[in-house]
Amino acid sequence: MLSDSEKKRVLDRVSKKAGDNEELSISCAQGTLTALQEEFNLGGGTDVLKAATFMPGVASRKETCGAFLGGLMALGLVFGRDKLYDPGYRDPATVKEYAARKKRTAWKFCEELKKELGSTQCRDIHTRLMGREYEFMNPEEFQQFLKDGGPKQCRVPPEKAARIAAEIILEELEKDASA
Amino acid sequence: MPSPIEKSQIIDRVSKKAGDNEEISISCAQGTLTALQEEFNLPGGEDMVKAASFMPGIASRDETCGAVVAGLMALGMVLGRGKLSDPSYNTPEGKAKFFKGRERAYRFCEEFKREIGSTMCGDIRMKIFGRKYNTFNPEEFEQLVADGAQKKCRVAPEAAARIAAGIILEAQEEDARI
Repeated sequence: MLSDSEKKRVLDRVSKKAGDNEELSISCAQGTLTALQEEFNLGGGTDVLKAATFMPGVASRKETCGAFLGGLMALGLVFGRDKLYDPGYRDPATVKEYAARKKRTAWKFCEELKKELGSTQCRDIHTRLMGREYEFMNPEEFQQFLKDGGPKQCRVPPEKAARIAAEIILEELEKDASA
Repeated sequence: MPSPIEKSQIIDRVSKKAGDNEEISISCAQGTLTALQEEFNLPGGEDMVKAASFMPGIASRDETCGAVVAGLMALGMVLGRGKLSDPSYNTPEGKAKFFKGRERAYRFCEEFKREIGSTMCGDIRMKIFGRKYNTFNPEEFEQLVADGAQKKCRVAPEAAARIAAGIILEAQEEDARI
């Protein structure tokens, strides 16, 4: 069990790491995911990282922010199911545990991040952080995003996503340890 | 390279598999992803399946459909980047390769949207079932199952896997020509 100060150090570290990763990669999804993978020794390695490549804004289409998707991938690696089906999945106690606890972690993560960022959608978050939307499929618009300080300004979603996801992971690990 | 008939067989097979997987798992994301992983020998194994666990409707919140996210995960494994940064990413070739991959991912989403009518789970369910479901409520989840979700929700994974497979085959063909 971690003390409160240790927990705070973990949360600060993973949050800063996610922001640094965003600046390095200009990918909120990969930035968030890698920070959480490293902090909690999650599986998947570079394969999962590759899988997150086109997540930001759901293929640069201004939809769901990649920091949500990167965080959800990490939560899936911790609390998710690795098979399409298992007879045990239909056991009523398992059904209840999965819906009430495991799936709930993902829902809570999204709702808490949405509360902090004002929206789950990339277009709204860019407007809030940078005063405008960007058409990333247009190379000139992407250059403008860089000129406007996009990689620094867009630290915010990965920083917050990694912190909230890490808090949830620590909370659940604590529950498991005390069960 | 596969002939046009073989391509059509691959696309039909992966699409059916994604629908079958949806029926087994009641997860459009894991169903789509697993079908594409198996067909194209994509890496990541069970970790990748785990990572897709909460993608349907972005954590069951009526937002982006899990089949869309899973198709993007598969495209990422084929066309994406496995590091946060690398000197090769900043070369003109590296940038061109990335933009090409992103253009394909964009096209995947837009084709799915054109075919299914939306990329959002809430809209898709409204179109299929005439209503939305709060699947956190066990009664609503049972109602979704009773309303035939396992069969009716095949349509999204089937479409996502078919479109993604077509794009992967196109990319493989282009690589082979170079």
